[in-house]
Amino acid sequence: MTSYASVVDRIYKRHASEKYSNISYLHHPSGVTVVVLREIPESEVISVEYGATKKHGVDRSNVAVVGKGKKGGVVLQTDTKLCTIKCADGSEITVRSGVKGTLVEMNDRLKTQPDLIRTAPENQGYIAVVTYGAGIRETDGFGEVLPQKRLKLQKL
Amino acid sequence: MSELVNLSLCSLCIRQIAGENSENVQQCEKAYECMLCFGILDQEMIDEVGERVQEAFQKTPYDSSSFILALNLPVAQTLRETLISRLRPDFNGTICSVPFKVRNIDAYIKKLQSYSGKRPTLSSDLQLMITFEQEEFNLQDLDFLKNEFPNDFRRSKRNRFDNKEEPVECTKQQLQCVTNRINESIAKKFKFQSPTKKCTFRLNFERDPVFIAGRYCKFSRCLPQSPWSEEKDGPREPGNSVSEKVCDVLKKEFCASDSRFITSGREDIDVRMLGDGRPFVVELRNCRITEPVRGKKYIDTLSEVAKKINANKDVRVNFLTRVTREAAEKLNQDEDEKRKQYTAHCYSILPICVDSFENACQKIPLEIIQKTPIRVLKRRSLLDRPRNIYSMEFMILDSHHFLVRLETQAGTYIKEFVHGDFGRTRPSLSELLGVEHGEVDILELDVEKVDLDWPPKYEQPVWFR
Repeated sequence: MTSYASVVDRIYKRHASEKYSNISYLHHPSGVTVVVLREIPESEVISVEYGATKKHGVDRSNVAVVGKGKKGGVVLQTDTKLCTIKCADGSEITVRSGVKGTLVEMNDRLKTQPDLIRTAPENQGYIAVVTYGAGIRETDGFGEVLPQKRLKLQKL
Repeated sequence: MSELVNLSLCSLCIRQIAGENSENVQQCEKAYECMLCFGILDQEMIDEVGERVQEAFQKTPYDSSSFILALNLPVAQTLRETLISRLRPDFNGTICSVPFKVRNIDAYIKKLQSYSGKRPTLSSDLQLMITFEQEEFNLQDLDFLKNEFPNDFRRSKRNRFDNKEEPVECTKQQLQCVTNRINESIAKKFKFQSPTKKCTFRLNFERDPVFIAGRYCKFSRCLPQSPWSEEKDGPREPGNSVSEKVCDVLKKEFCASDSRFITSGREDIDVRMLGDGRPFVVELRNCRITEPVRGKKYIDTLSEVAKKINANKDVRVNFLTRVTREAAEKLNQDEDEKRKQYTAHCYSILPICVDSFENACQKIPLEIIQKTPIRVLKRRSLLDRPRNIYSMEFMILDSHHFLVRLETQAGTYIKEFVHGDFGRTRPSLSELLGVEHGEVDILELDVEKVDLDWPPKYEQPVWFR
C-alpha cells in the first residue's frame, strides 16, 4: 500500500522536550515551533484551561500579538505553564513550555473542542505556537529528534 | 555705518562679485583660499575636472550623445554665499546678482562639452553629477548655526536614543530651512577663514532606468524566484533563481550596473509557473547601452534577447517589451483584486467518494479565513486573512488521489488551504471533503494563470527616446 510522509514530517522536524516528557515540538526551520502533546491520555479530554486558574494568571488564549515582531506575546521561561488539560477520569495534565521564547498563539479551538488534543494531537489539536527573536532559528530545550511518521492510505 | 567684514577672495570672485574697488577685500594668493568659491571656479580646477570626466567616459562609455550636468557644492560654500550677500550689499561686481550655482554651471558646461565630446542639455537620460567636497569648516559651521538656530538643529528623540553618532556637518536641507532667517546681525557674528586645502571632487554618472516588461514561466520544482539558500547565512548558488536567469542576461546586454526584478506575486521554490506566465518588470539601472532599445528598435532587439534567456530550460519569458516608468509602476496596483488559477495534485489518507467532491463544489464560491501560516509566521504578522475561492474543479485519479483546479483571490496560501495548517485555515479542503479526521496533503502545485493584462498593449507601439 502506498504511504506518504505526514504533512508535519514533510515540513517540520519533530523534537522531544529536554525537560518535559509529555510534550514534543514540531519545529519549522524558519524558527517557529508548534508545541504538541506527546503522551496522549486514554480518557476523553473535557477541558483545556489557559493559565487563568492562578489568582493573577494571564489567560493566554486572549493575548494578541501585534506586527512582525509579535509584540505583546507572553515571554516564556522553560517552566512557564501553558495550559492545564482536564480529562473525564478526573486526571489533570499540566503543560509547560520547556523552551524560552515568545508565545504567539494558543490553539483557541481547544476551548470548544478540547478532545482534539487527544484525537488529532499533531494537527487540529496542537497546543501553542512559539517563536524566538528576530533572526533566531534554533533554541535550547529541544531533546532528541523523534522518528518520522509514515501515513498509509486507508481502505474503506 | 558699521565696519565692513574683511574678506579674502580670488581674482575671479573680485571681478565678478565684489567689484574691483571694494573696500576691505584682498586678493588671496592661491585660488583655493577664496572665502567665497573655494577655488571651484579656478581654471586649473575646471581643467582637472574636465580631464577626469574624459577619463571616466573612456573607461565606462555611455552610448548617449548628451548629458545633464549637475553640480553638488559644499554646504560650507552655500552658507558663505548667503552670509556674504547679507554682509556686503556694497558689492558691485560684473555679475554680482547671478547666483553662485549658475556662475558655476556656466564655467563648467563649455569645458565639459569639449572634454567629453557630448552635448550638455537640460533633458537627457544621462546625468553627470560632480560633487565638490571641502570639509574643513563642517564642524565650526554647524556649531555656528546651532548657536543661532537651536530649534532647527535639535536632534530628534529617535536619533538620541538610537545611540547614533552626533552629526558632524550641517545638511543641505537644514541649511535651506534657515537661509531666509540669516540676517545681517547674525551674519556679523561669523568668523571668515580661508580654506587651507583645495576642494576634492567626485564624479557620479546616472542614467535613467530602462524598464523591460514581460511574463515568465518556471518549469522547475527546485528553482527559487529570488536568490535563496536553505541555511540562514548559507552561500547562495549564483545564477540559480528566476530573477538572476532573467536579469543577468538583460544586465549584460545593456551593460546595466544594477537591476531590480519586480513581479506580480511569487511562487514557492517547488511550484511551477505555467500558462502565459507571471507578469514581471525588470528595472535596469545605469545602462551604458540603450541604443538597441530606443525608438521602436526595442521590438526586434528584445525578441532576440528573449531567445537568449529562453536558451535555458527552466525559465521562459514571453511578450518581452519595453515599457515606460509609469506603466511599470502599475504592475503592483490593485493587488487584492487579482485572481490566480492553480492546479494541485493531492491525496487523502481516507478514501473519498464521488459525492464528497460534488458536495465540496457546491460550497463554492466561498470565503476562507487563513491565519498567517506557520511556515511564514516568522516574517509576517499574525492575522486572520480572509480570502475568496472563486471556483473549484476536481479530477479524480483514484479513490485517494485527485487534481484540484482552483481560482482564488491573490494572496491565498494554496498549500495551507489543502492541508489545513493545523486547522488554522478554515475551512480547509479536508473539511470541505469531509475527511478532516484523516489527512489531506498536497503533492505538487502549479500556477496556471495570473489574471492580469500584462504587458500593457497599445494600438501603436510606444516610441522611446
